[in-house]
Amino acid sequence: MATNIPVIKFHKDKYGDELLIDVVTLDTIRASKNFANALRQSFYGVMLTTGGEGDVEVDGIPCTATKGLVAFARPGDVCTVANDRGLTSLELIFERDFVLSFFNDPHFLDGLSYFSHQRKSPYVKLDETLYNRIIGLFVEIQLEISHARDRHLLRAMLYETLILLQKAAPVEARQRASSETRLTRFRKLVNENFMTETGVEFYADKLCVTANYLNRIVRQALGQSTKGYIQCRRMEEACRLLRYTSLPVADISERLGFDTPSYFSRAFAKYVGQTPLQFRNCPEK
Amino acid sequence: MTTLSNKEKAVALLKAIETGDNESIAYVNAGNYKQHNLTVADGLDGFGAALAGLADFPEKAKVNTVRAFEDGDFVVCQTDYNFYGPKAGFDIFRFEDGKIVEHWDNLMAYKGEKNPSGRTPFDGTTEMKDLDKTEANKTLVRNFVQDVLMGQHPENLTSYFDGNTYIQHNTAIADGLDGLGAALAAMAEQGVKMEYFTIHKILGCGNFVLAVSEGKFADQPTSYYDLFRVENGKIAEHWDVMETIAPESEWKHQNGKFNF
Repeated sequence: MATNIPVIKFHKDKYGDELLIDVVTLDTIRASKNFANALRQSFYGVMLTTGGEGDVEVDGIPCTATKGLVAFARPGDVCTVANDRGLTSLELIFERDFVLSFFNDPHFLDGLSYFSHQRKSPYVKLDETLYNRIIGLFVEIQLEISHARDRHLLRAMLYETLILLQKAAPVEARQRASSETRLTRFRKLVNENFMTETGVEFYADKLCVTANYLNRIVRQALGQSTKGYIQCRRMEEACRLLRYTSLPVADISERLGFDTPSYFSRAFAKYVGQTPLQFRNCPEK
Repeated sequence: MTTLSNKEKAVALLKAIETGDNESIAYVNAGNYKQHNLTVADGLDGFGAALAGLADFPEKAKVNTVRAFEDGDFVVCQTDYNFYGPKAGFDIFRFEDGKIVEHWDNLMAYKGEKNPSGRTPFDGTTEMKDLDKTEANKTLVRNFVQDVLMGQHPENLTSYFDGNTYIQHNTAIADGLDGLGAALAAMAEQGVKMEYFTIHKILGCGNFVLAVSEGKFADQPTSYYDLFRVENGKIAEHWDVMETIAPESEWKHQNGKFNF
Protein backbone atom coordinates (compact mmCIF):
# COMPACT_ATOMS: atom_id res chain seq x y z
CA MET A 1 0.00 0.00 0.00
CA ALA A 2 1.19 3.51 -0.78
CA THR A 3 2.34 5.83 1.95
CA ASN A 4 0.07 8.54 0.63
CA ILE A 5 -3.41 8.58 -0.79
CA PRO A 6 -2.96 9.68 -4.40
CA VAL A 7 -4.48 13.04 -5.15
CA ILE A 8 -6.06 13.73 -8.51
CA LYS A 9 -5.76 17.34 -9.59
CA PHE A 10 -8.14 19.12 -11.88
CA HIS A 11 -7.09 19.01 -15.54
CA LYS A 12 -7.56 22.74 -16.01
CA ASP A 13 -6.42 23.17 -19.60
CA LYS A 14 -7.98 20.06 -21.11
CA TYR A 15 -10.00 22.28 -23.47
CA GLY A 16 -7.22 24.79 -24.19
CA ASP A 17 -7.97 27.82 -22.07
CA GLU A 18 -8.55 27.26 -18.38
CA LEU A 19 -11.91 25.70 -17.54
CA LEU A 20 -12.74 24.60 -14.00
CA ILE A 21 -15.72 22.37 -14.76
CA ASP A 22 -15.93 19.04 -16.61
CA VAL A 23 -17.90 15.82 -16.92
CA VAL A 24 -15.84 12.63 -16.90
CA THR A 25 -16.42 8.89 -16.71
CA LEU A 26 -15.22 6.44 -14.11
CA ASP A 27 -12.80 5.06 -16.70
CA THR A 28 -11.21 8.49 -17.04
CA ILE A 29 -10.66 8.73 -13.31
CA ARG A 30 -9.27 5.22 -13.14
CA ALA A 31 -6.89 5.83 -16.01
CA SER A 32 -5.77 9.18 -14.72
CA LYS A 33 -3.32 8.08 -12.05
CA ASN A 34 -2.35 4.67 -10.72
CA PHE A 35 -5.90 4.10 -9.61
CA ALA A 36 -5.17 1.59 -6.89
CA ASN A 37 -7.62 1.48 -4.08
CA ALA A 38 -8.26 4.90 -2.81
CA LEU A 39 -7.81 8.40 -4.08
CA ARG A 40 -8.61 11.94 -3.20
CA GLN A 41 -9.79 14.56 -5.59
CA SER A 42 -8.58 18.09 -5.05
CA PHE A 43 -11.95 19.31 -6.36
CA TYR A 44 -15.69 18.76 -5.91
CA GLY A 45 -17.27 15.70 -7.53
CA VAL A 46 -20.85 14.64 -8.16
CA MET A 47 -20.75 11.02 -9.32
CA LEU A 48 -23.97 9.81 -10.91
CA THR A 49 -24.25 6.06 -11.37
CA THR A 50 -25.76 5.32 -14.78
CA GLY A 51 -25.69 1.53 -14.79
CA GLY A 52 -24.22 -1.69 -13.41
CA GLU A 53 -23.32 -2.10 -9.78
CA GLY A 54 -20.32 -1.51 -7.54
CA ASP A 55 -19.27 -0.88 -3.96
CA VAL A 56 -18.33 2.73 -3.44
CA GLU A 57 -16.97 4.36 -0.37
CA VAL A 58 -16.71 8.06 0.36
CA ASP A 59 -14.66 8.79 3.44
CA GLY A 60 -15.23 5.39 4.96
CA ILE A 61 -18.99 5.36 4.39
CA PRO A 62 -19.83 2.41 2.14
CA CYS A 63 -22.71 2.19 -0.30
CA THR A 64 -23.77 -0.06 -3.13
CA ALA A 65 -23.97 2.03 -6.26
CA THR A 66 -26.75 1.25 -8.72
CA LYS A 67 -28.41 3.40 -11.36
CA GLY A 68 -29.58 6.68 -9.84
CA LEU A 69 -27.21 6.73 -6.88
CA VAL A 70 -25.24 9.95 -6.55
CA ALA A 71 -22.06 10.12 -4.47
CA PHE A 72 -20.70 13.50 -3.41
CA ALA A 73 -17.01 14.11 -2.85
CA ARG A 74 -15.55 17.27 -1.38
CA PRO A 75 -11.92 18.26 -1.93
CA GLY A 76 -9.88 15.92 0.24
CA ASP A 77 -12.53 13.24 0.69
CA VAL A 78 -11.15 9.77 0.09
CA CYS A 79 -13.10 7.77 -2.48
CA THR A 80 -12.89 4.14 -3.48
CA VAL A 81 -14.70 1.93 -5.96
CA ALA A 82 -14.47 -1.83 -5.49
CA ASN A 83 -16.09 -5.01 -6.64
CA ASP A 84 -17.10 -3.37 -9.89
CA ARG A 85 -19.93 -5.26 -11.59
CA GLY A 86 -20.22 -3.33 -14.84
CA LEU A 87 -20.48 -0.04 -12.99
CA THR A 88 -20.86 2.96 -15.27
CA SER A 89 -21.04 6.54 -14.12
CA LEU A 90 -20.63 10.14 -15.10
CA GLU A 91 -18.94 12.50 -12.72
CA LEU A 92 -19.52 16.23 -12.76
CA ILE A 93 -16.38 17.84 -11.35
CA PHE A 94 -15.58 21.44 -10.60
CA GLU A 95 -13.26 23.65 -8.62
CA ARG A 96 -14.52 25.78 -5.77
CA ASP A 97 -13.33 28.90 -7.61
CA PHE A 98 -15.59 28.15 -10.56
CA VAL A 99 -18.64 28.61 -8.36
CA LEU A 100 -17.35 31.26 -6.02
CA SER A 101 -16.10 33.57 -8.74
CA PHE A 102 -19.75 34.29 -9.39
CA PHE A 103 -21.71 33.83 -6.20
CA ASN A 104 -20.94 36.46 -3.66
CA ASP A 105 -21.32 33.79 -0.99
CA PRO A 106 -18.14 32.03 0.08
CA HIS A 107 -20.21 29.43 1.97
CA PHE A 108 -22.52 28.50 -0.86
CA LEU A 109 -21.03 25.05 -1.34
CA ASP A 110 -20.71 24.32 2.38
CA GLY A 111 -24.37 25.20 2.73
CA LEU A 112 -25.45 22.40 0.39
CA SER A 113 -26.68 19.50 2.48
CA TYR A 114 -24.54 16.91 0.72
CA PHE A 115 -21.30 18.98 0.82
CA SER A 116 -21.75 20.27 4.36
CA HIS A 117 -19.18 19.26 6.97
CA GLN A 118 -22.06 17.99 9.06
CA ARG A 119 -23.67 15.93 6.33
CA LYS A 120 -25.23 12.71 7.48
CA SER A 121 -24.49 10.88 4.24
CA PRO A 122 -22.51 11.58 1.07
CA TYR A 123 -25.19 9.85 -1.02
CA VAL A 124 -28.59 10.55 -2.46
CA LYS A 125 -30.76 8.34 -4.64
CA LEU A 126 -32.60 9.90 -7.56
CA ASP A 127 -36.04 8.82 -8.70
CA GLU A 128 -36.60 8.39 -12.42
CA THR A 129 -37.85 11.93 -13.01
CA LEU A 130 -34.95 13.56 -11.23
CA TYR A 131 -32.46 11.12 -12.79
CA ASN A 132 -33.67 12.12 -16.25
CA ARG A 133 -33.43 15.79 -15.36
CA ILE A 134 -29.92 15.47 -13.94
CA ILE A 135 -28.54 13.30 -16.74
CA GLY A 136 -29.98 15.84 -19.19
CA LEU A 137 -28.19 18.65 -17.39
CA PHE A 138 -24.92 16.69 -17.38
CA VAL A 139 -25.11 16.26 -21.15
CA GLU A 140 -26.11 19.89 -21.66
CA ILE A 141 -23.01 20.86 -19.68
CA GLN A 142 -20.89 18.54 -21.82
CA LEU A 143 -22.29 20.00 -25.03
CA GLU A 144 -21.73 23.55 -23.81
CA ILE A 145 -18.15 22.62 -22.88
CA SER A 146 -17.56 21.16 -26.32
CA HIS A 147 -18.93 24.24 -28.08
CA ALA A 148 -19.14 27.80 -26.79
CA ARG A 149 -17.86 27.18 -23.22
CA ASP A 150 -19.91 30.12 -21.96
CA ARG A 151 -18.87 30.32 -18.29
CA HIS A 152 -22.09 31.98 -17.23
CA LEU A 153 -24.25 29.35 -18.90
CA LEU A 154 -22.10 26.57 -17.45
CA ARG A 155 -22.35 28.09 -14.00
CA ALA A 156 -26.12 28.41 -14.37
CA MET A 157 -26.35 24.73 -15.35
CA LEU A 158 -24.12 23.72 -12.45
CA TYR A 159 -26.20 25.83 -10.10
CA GLU A 160 -29.41 24.20 -11.31
CA THR A 161 -27.85 20.76 -10.92
CA LEU A 162 -26.64 21.41 -7.38
CA ILE A 163 -29.94 22.82 -6.21
CA LEU A 164 -31.97 20.03 -7.81
CA LEU A 165 -29.72 17.45 -6.16
CA GLN A 166 -30.37 19.06 -2.82
CA LYS A 167 -34.07 18.37 -3.35
CA ALA A 168 -33.20 14.70 -3.61
CA ALA A 169 -31.37 14.59 -0.31
CA PRO A 170 -33.61 12.39 1.80
CA VAL A 171 -32.35 12.90 5.32
CA GLU A 172 -30.45 16.13 5.64
CA ALA A 173 -31.90 19.27 7.09
CA ARG A 174 -32.69 22.13 4.80
CA GLN A 175 -30.23 24.92 4.21
CA ARG A 176 -29.22 26.64 7.40
CA ALA A 177 -30.44 30.05 8.35
CA SER A 178 -28.12 33.02 7.94
CA SER A 179 -27.78 33.37 11.73
CA GLU A 180 -25.60 30.29 11.54
CA THR A 181 -23.04 31.75 9.19
CA ARG A 182 -20.54 32.18 12.02
CA LEU A 183 -20.88 28.50 12.76
CA THR A 184 -20.41 27.69 9.09
CA ARG A 185 -17.28 29.81 9.02
CA PHE A 186 -16.04 28.04 12.11
CA ARG A 187 -16.50 24.65 10.50
CA LYS A 188 -14.70 25.82 7.41
CA LEU A 189 -11.84 27.24 9.47
CA VAL A 190 -11.52 23.94 11.30
CA ASN A 191 -11.50 22.06 8.04
CA GLU A 192 -8.71 24.22 6.73
CA ASN A 193 -6.59 24.39 9.88
CA PHE A 194 -7.20 21.34 12.07
CA MET A 195 -3.81 19.83 11.25
CA THR A 196 -1.89 22.75 12.69
CA GLU A 197 -4.31 24.60 14.97
CA THR A 198 -5.90 22.68 17.80
CA GLY A 199 -6.61 25.48 20.28
CA VAL A 200 -10.01 27.14 20.67
CA GLU A 201 -8.40 30.61 20.93
CA PHE A 202 -7.12 30.50 17.38
CA TYR A 203 -10.61 29.98 15.96
CA ALA A 204 -12.26 32.47 18.34
CA ASP A 205 -9.73 35.11 17.24
CA LYS A 206 -10.33 34.43 13.58
CA LEU A 207 -14.08 34.77 14.09
CA CYS A 208 -13.71 37.89 16.27
CA VAL A 209 -15.56 36.33 19.22
CA THR A 210 -14.46 35.18 22.68
CA ALA A 211 -13.61 31.55 23.33
CA ASN A 212 -16.56 31.36 25.72
CA TYR A 213 -18.99 32.63 23.12
CA LEU A 214 -17.64 30.24 20.51
CA ASN A 215 -17.99 27.36 22.95
CA ARG A 216 -21.57 28.32 23.57
CA ILE A 217 -22.69 28.49 19.91
CA VAL A 218 -20.81 25.33 19.01
CA ARG A 219 -22.33 23.40 21.90
CA GLN A 220 -25.75 24.73 21.07
CA ALA A 221 -25.62 23.79 17.42
CA LEU A 222 -23.41 20.74 17.40
CA GLY A 223 -23.88 19.34 20.90
CA GLN A 224 -20.19 19.17 21.69
CA SER A 225 -17.38 21.43 22.85
CA THR A 226 -15.25 23.39 20.43
CA LYS A 227 -12.20 21.40 21.45
CA GLY A 228 -14.13 18.16 21.02
CA TYR A 229 -15.25 19.19 17.54
CA ILE A 230 -11.69 20.01 16.45
CA GLN A 231 -10.49 16.74 17.93
CA CYS A 232 -13.17 14.84 15.97
CA ARG A 233 -11.98 16.43 12.75
CA ARG A 234 -8.38 15.38 13.48
CA MET A 235 -9.49 11.87 14.30
CA GLU A 236 -11.52 11.61 11.11
CA GLU A 237 -8.35 12.42 9.21
CA ALA A 238 -6.40 9.94 11.31
CA CYS A 239 -8.94 7.25 10.33
CA ARG A 240 -8.51 8.13 6.66
CA LEU A 241 -4.73 7.97 6.85
CA LEU A 242 -4.79 4.69 8.76
CA ARG A 243 -7.29 3.15 6.42
CA TYR A 244 -5.94 4.31 3.10
CA THR A 245 -2.18 4.65 3.61
CA SER A 246 0.60 2.60 5.12
CA LEU A 247 2.14 5.59 6.92
CA PRO A 248 3.58 4.58 10.32
CA VAL A 249 1.44 5.63 13.29
CA ALA A 250 4.24 7.92 14.47
CA ASP A 251 4.16 9.81 11.17
CA ILE A 252 0.40 10.18 11.31
CA SER A 253 0.67 11.43 14.85
CA GLU A 254 3.22 14.02 13.81
CA ARG A 255 1.28 15.02 10.72
CA LEU A 256 -1.80 15.73 12.81
CA GLY A 257 0.16 17.82 15.30
CA PHE A 258 0.19 15.47 18.32
CA ASP A 259 3.10 15.89 20.70
CA THR A 260 3.90 12.20 21.01
CA PRO A 261 2.67 9.03 19.28
CA SER A 262 1.57 7.58 22.62
CA TYR A 263 -0.61 10.61 23.32
CA PHE A 264 -2.06 10.25 19.82
CA SER A 265 -2.73 6.54 20.41
CA ARG A 266 -4.53 7.20 23.70
CA ALA A 267 -6.62 10.01 22.20
CA PHE A 268 -7.41 7.88 19.17
CA ALA A 269 -8.46 4.93 21.31
CA LYS A 270 -10.72 7.16 23.35
CA TYR A 271 -12.35 8.49 20.19
CA VAL A 272 -12.61 5.32 18.10
CA GLY A 273 -12.57 2.58 20.74
CA GLN A 274 -9.60 0.87 19.12
CA THR A 275 -5.89 1.64 19.04
CA PRO A 276 -4.58 3.00 15.73
CA LEU A 277 -3.03 -0.35 14.85
CA GLN A 278 -6.15 -2.29 15.75
CA PHE A 279 -8.17 0.10 13.59
CA ARG A 280 -5.76 -0.28 10.68
CA ASN A 281 -5.84 -4.06 10.84
CA CYS A 282 -9.54 -4.40 11.42
CA PRO A 283 -11.54 -1.18 11.26
CA GLU A 284 -14.87 -1.58 12.97
CA LYS A 285 -16.25 1.72 11.81
CA MET B 1 -48.62 -2.60 -66.38
CA THR B 2 -48.50 -1.25 -62.85
CA THR B 3 -46.74 2.02 -62.29
CA LEU B 4 -44.10 1.87 -59.61
CA SER B 5 -43.76 4.69 -57.10
CA ASN B 6 -40.50 6.63 -56.97
CA LYS B 7 -39.71 4.84 -53.71
CA GLU B 8 -40.18 1.41 -55.30
CA LYS B 9 -37.99 2.41 -58.23
CA ALA B 10 -35.20 3.59 -55.93
CA VAL B 11 -35.29 0.40 -53.86
CA ALA B 12 -35.36 -1.71 -57.03
CA LEU B 13 -32.38 0.16 -58.50
CA LEU B 14 -30.31 -0.46 -55.36
CA LYS B 15 -31.34 -4.13 -55.30
CA ALA B 16 -30.10 -4.42 -58.87
CA ILE B 17 -26.57 -4.02 -57.52
CA GLU B 18 -27.06 -7.42 -55.88
CA THR B 19 -29.19 -9.16 -58.48
CA GLY B 20 -27.79 -7.67 -61.66
CA ASP B 21 -31.36 -7.00 -62.79
CA ASN B 22 -30.55 -4.48 -65.49
CA GLU B 23 -34.20 -3.58 -66.12
CA SER B 24 -34.22 -1.17 -63.23
CA ILE B 25 -31.46 0.84 -64.88
CA ALA B 26 -34.33 2.19 -66.97
CA TYR B 27 -35.49 4.17 -63.91
CA VAL B 28 -32.45 6.38 -64.32
CA ASN B 29 -32.55 9.26 -66.77
CA ALA B 30 -29.65 8.07 -68.89
CA GLY B 31 -28.96 11.48 -70.42
CA ASN B 32 -29.13 13.42 -67.16
CA TYR B 33 -27.90 11.64 -64.05
CA LYS B 34 -25.91 13.79 -61.66
CA GLN B 35 -23.71 11.88 -59.26
CA HIS B 36 -22.70 13.28 -55.84
CA ASN B 37 -20.77 10.26 -54.58
CA LEU B 38 -17.36 11.83 -55.03
CA THR B 39 -15.58 8.54 -55.79
CA VAL B 40 -17.96 7.49 -58.58
CA ALA B 41 -17.79 9.18 -61.96
CA ASP B 42 -20.67 11.38 -63.09
CA GLY B 43 -23.51 10.09 -65.25
CA LEU B 44 -25.03 6.68 -65.74
CA ASP B 45 -21.76 5.44 -67.21
CA GLY B 46 -20.07 6.24 -63.90
CA PHE B 47 -22.60 4.11 -62.05
CA GLY B 48 -22.03 1.39 -64.64
CA ALA B 49 -18.27 1.53 -64.09
CA ALA B 50 -18.77 1.16 -60.32
CA LEU B 51 -20.94 -1.91 -60.92
CA ALA B 52 -18.50 -3.39 -63.38
CA GLY B 53 -15.72 -3.31 -60.82
CA LEU B 54 -17.81 -5.47 -58.48
CA ALA B 55 -17.20 -8.56 -60.60
CA ASP B 56 -13.54 -8.51 -59.55
CA PHE B 57 -14.29 -7.96 -55.86
CA PRO B 58 -13.95 -11.16 -53.82
CA GLU B 59 -17.14 -10.67 -51.80
CA LYS B 60 -20.57 -10.98 -53.34
CA ALA B 61 -22.56 -7.77 -53.43
CA LYS B 62 -25.53 -7.62 -51.09
CA VAL B 63 -28.19 -4.94 -50.88
CA ASN B 64 -30.94 -4.96 -48.29
CA THR B 65 -32.82 -1.68 -47.96
CA VAL B 66 -34.31 -1.55 -44.47
CA ARG B 67 -36.18 1.78 -44.60
CA ALA B 68 -37.25 4.01 -47.48
CA PHE B 69 -39.46 7.04 -47.77
CA GLU B 70 -40.41 9.80 -50.18
CA ASP B 71 -40.37 13.53 -49.56
CA GLY B 72 -41.49 15.48 -52.64
CA ASP B 73 -39.18 14.56 -55.52
CA PHE B 74 -36.68 12.95 -53.16
CA VAL B 75 -36.43 9.34 -52.03
CA VAL B 76 -34.34 8.34 -49.01
CA CYS B 77 -33.11 4.74 -48.60
CA GLN B 78 -31.28 3.25 -45.63
CA THR B 79 -29.43 0.12 -46.68
CA ASP B 80 -27.45 -2.80 -45.29
CA TYR B 81 -24.80 -3.25 -47.98
CA ASN B 82 -22.02 -5.36 -49.14
CA PHE B 83 -20.71 -3.03 -51.80
CA TYR B 84 -16.94 -3.42 -51.95
CA GLY B 85 -17.12 -4.81 -48.41
CA PRO B 86 -19.84 -4.69 -45.74
CA LYS B 87 -21.27 -1.20 -45.28
CA ALA B 88 -24.08 0.80 -43.79
CA GLY B 89 -25.42 3.48 -46.07
CA PHE B 90 -27.97 6.10 -46.87
CA ASP B 91 -28.88 6.99 -50.46
CA ILE B 92 -30.90 9.96 -51.65
CA PHE B 93 -32.37 10.07 -55.15
CA ARG B 94 -34.06 12.99 -56.87
CA PHE B 95 -36.68 12.24 -59.48
CA GLU B 96 -37.92 14.27 -62.42
CA ASP B 97 -40.84 12.94 -64.46
CA GLY B 98 -40.54 9.54 -62.84
CA LYS B 99 -36.84 9.16 -63.60
CA ILE B 100 -33.84 9.45 -61.32
CA VAL B 101 -31.76 12.51 -62.21
CA GLU B 102 -29.54 12.95 -59.17
CA HIS B 103 -27.96 10.80 -56.43
CA TRP B 104 -26.28 11.45 -53.08
CA ASP B 105 -25.07 8.89 -50.55
CA ASN B 106 -23.16 8.39 -47.33
CA LEU B 107 -21.41 5.09 -46.66
CA MET B 108 -19.37 3.63 -43.83
CA ALA B 109 -17.68 0.27 -43.32
CA TYR B 110 -19.66 -1.89 -40.93
CA LYS B 111 -18.59 -5.36 -39.90
CA GLY B 112 -21.68 -6.45 -38.01
CA GLU B 113 -20.67 -5.46 -34.49
CA LYS B 114 -23.33 -4.45 -31.97
CA ASN B 115 -23.19 -1.14 -30.15
CA PRO B 116 -23.04 -0.93 -26.30
CA SER B 117 -26.83 -1.37 -26.16
CA GLY B 118 -26.73 -4.38 -28.49
CA ARG B 119 -28.11 -2.54 -31.52
CA THR B 120 -27.02 -2.40 -35.16
CA PRO B 121 -27.19 0.58 -37.56
CA PHE B 122 -30.24 -1.09 -39.18
CA ASP B 123 -32.51 -2.69 -36.59
CA GLY B 124 -35.27 -0.96 -34.63
CA THR B 125 -38.58 0.58 -35.56
CA THR B 126 -39.60 0.55 -39.23
CA GLU B 127 -43.28 1.47 -38.95
CA MET B 128 -44.01 4.79 -40.63
CA LYS B 129 -46.85 6.82 -39.20
CA ASP B 130 -47.93 10.38 -38.33
CA LEU B 131 -47.92 11.34 -42.01
CA ASP B 132 -49.75 14.54 -41.08
CA LYS B 133 -46.84 15.60 -38.86
CA THR B 134 -44.05 15.54 -41.45
CA GLU B 135 -43.47 19.28 -41.51
CA ALA B 136 -43.59 19.67 -37.73
CA ASN B 137 -41.16 16.77 -37.29
CA LYS B 138 -38.79 18.16 -39.93
CA THR B 139 -38.76 21.49 -38.10
CA LEU B 140 -38.12 19.72 -34.80
CA VAL B 141 -35.12 17.84 -36.24
CA ARG B 142 -33.72 20.96 -37.91
CA ASN B 143 -33.94 22.80 -34.59
CA PHE B 144 -32.37 19.87 -32.75
CA VAL B 145 -29.40 19.75 -35.12
CA GLN B 146 -28.92 23.51 -34.80
CA ASP B 147 -29.39 23.73 -31.05
CA VAL B 148 -27.59 20.58 -29.96
CA LEU B 149 -25.33 19.15 -32.67
CA MET B 150 -24.20 22.54 -33.95
CA GLY B 151 -24.02 23.70 -30.34
CA GLN B 152 -26.06 26.87 -30.69
CA HIS B 153 -28.25 26.12 -27.67
CA PRO B 154 -27.07 23.02 -25.82
CA GLU B 155 -29.20 24.07 -22.86
CA ASN B 156 -32.28 23.07 -24.89
CA LEU B 157 -31.15 19.44 -25.15
CA THR B 158 -33.61 17.95 -22.68
CA SER B 159 -36.59 19.66 -24.31
CA TYR B 160 -36.08 17.42 -27.37
CA PHE B 161 -36.34 14.16 -25.44
CA ASP B 162 -38.88 12.30 -23.38
CA GLY B 163 -36.73 11.92 -20.26
CA ASN B 164 -33.85 9.52 -20.80
CA THR B 165 -35.65 7.64 -23.59
CA TYR B 166 -33.41 7.64 -26.66
CA ILE B 167 -32.88 4.46 -28.65
CA GLN B 168 -29.41 4.69 -30.13
CA HIS B 169 -28.10 2.86 -33.21
CA ASN B 170 -24.78 4.70 -33.53
CA THR B 171 -22.15 1.96 -33.50
CA ALA B 172 -20.23 3.44 -30.55
CA ILE B 173 -22.92 4.92 -28.30
CA ALA B 174 -25.33 3.38 -25.80
CA ASP B 175 -29.03 4.20 -25.40
CA GLY B 176 -30.27 7.20 -23.46
CA LEU B 177 -28.92 10.61 -22.67
CA ASP B 178 -26.60 8.84 -20.21
CA GLY B 179 -25.18 6.84 -23.14
CA LEU B 180 -24.67 10.07 -25.05
CA GLY B 181 -23.02 11.62 -21.99
CA ALA B 182 -20.58 8.71 -21.66
CA ALA B 183 -19.68 8.99 -25.36
CA LEU B 184 -19.13 12.76 -25.11
CA ALA B 185 -16.92 12.28 -22.05
CA ALA B 186 -14.86 9.60 -23.82
CA MET B 187 -14.42 11.81 -26.88
CA ALA B 188 -13.40 14.78 -24.75
CA GLU B 189 -10.87 12.59 -22.97
CA GLN B 190 -9.34 11.52 -26.29
CA GLY B 191 -9.42 15.07 -27.60
CA VAL B 192 -11.83 14.03 -30.39
CA LYS B 193 -14.20 16.75 -31.50
CA MET B 194 -17.48 16.11 -33.31
CA GLU B 195 -18.43 19.32 -35.07
CA TYR B 196 -21.49 20.14 -37.18
CA PHE B 197 -21.20 23.30 -39.28
CA THR B 198 -23.97 23.25 -41.90
CA ILE B 199 -27.31 21.56 -42.47
CA HIS B 200 -27.59 20.81 -46.19
CA LYS B 201 -30.94 19.04 -46.34
CA ILE B 202 -33.77 17.88 -44.13
CA LEU B 203 -36.00 15.18 -45.63
CA GLY B 204 -38.85 13.51 -43.84
CA CYS B 205 -41.95 11.40 -44.02
CA GLY B 206 -44.20 11.24 -40.98
CA ASN B 207 -42.23 10.06 -37.96
CA PHE B 208 -38.90 9.62 -39.84
CA VAL B 209 -36.63 12.56 -40.61
CA LEU B 210 -33.16 12.54 -42.19
CA ALA B 211 -30.72 15.40 -41.60
CA VAL B 212 -27.79 15.78 -44.01
CA SER B 213 -25.06 17.88 -42.42
CA GLU B 214 -21.43 18.79 -42.92
CA GLY B 215 -18.74 19.28 -40.31
CA LYS B 216 -15.61 17.75 -38.93
CA PHE B 217 -14.99 14.62 -36.90
CA ALA B 218 -11.57 14.39 -35.26
CA ASP B 219 -10.52 17.31 -37.52
CA GLN B 220 -11.45 15.38 -40.69
CA PRO B 221 -14.03 16.94 -43.04
CA THR B 222 -17.08 14.76 -42.51
CA SER B 223 -20.52 14.24 -43.98
CA TYR B 224 -23.18 13.32 -41.39
CA TYR B 225 -26.43 11.58 -42.30
CA ASP B 226 -28.60 11.35 -39.17
CA LEU B 227 -31.97 9.61 -39.31
CA PHE B 228 -34.32 10.32 -36.42
CA ARG B 229 -37.63 8.81 -35.42
CA VAL B 230 -39.90 11.30 -33.75
CA GLU B 231 -42.61 10.23 -31.33
CA ASN B 232 -45.11 12.69 -29.85
CA GLY B 233 -42.93 15.66 -30.67
CA LYS B 234 -39.81 14.15 -29.06
CA ILE B 235 -36.77 12.47 -30.59
CA ALA B 236 -37.05 8.76 -29.80
CA GLU B 237 -34.57 6.86 -31.99
CA HIS B 238 -31.44 7.60 -34.02
CA TRP B 239 -29.46 5.93 -36.79
CA ASP B 240 -26.46 7.50 -38.48
CA VAL B 241 -23.73 7.13 -41.03
CA MET B 242 -20.61 9.28 -40.95
CA GLU B 243 -18.34 9.48 -43.96
CA THR B 244 -15.00 11.22 -44.21
CA ILE B 245 -15.19 13.49 -47.24
CA ALA B 246 -12.56 12.43 -49.78
CA PRO B 247 -9.87 15.03 -50.54
CA GLU B 248 -10.52 17.00 -53.71
CA SER B 249 -7.62 15.34 -55.49
CA GLU B 250 -9.61 12.09 -55.45
CA TRP B 251 -12.90 13.49 -56.72
CA LYS B 252 -14.20 11.99 -59.97
CA HIS B 253 -16.33 15.07 -60.74
CA GLN B 254 -17.05 18.57 -59.47
CA ASN B 255 -20.71 18.05 -58.48
CA GLY B 256 -19.89 18.33 -54.79
CA LYS B 257 -20.86 16.04 -51.93
CA PHE B 258 -23.98 18.09 -51.13
CA ASN B 259 -25.33 20.88 -53.43
CA PHE B 260 -29.00 19.99 -52.96
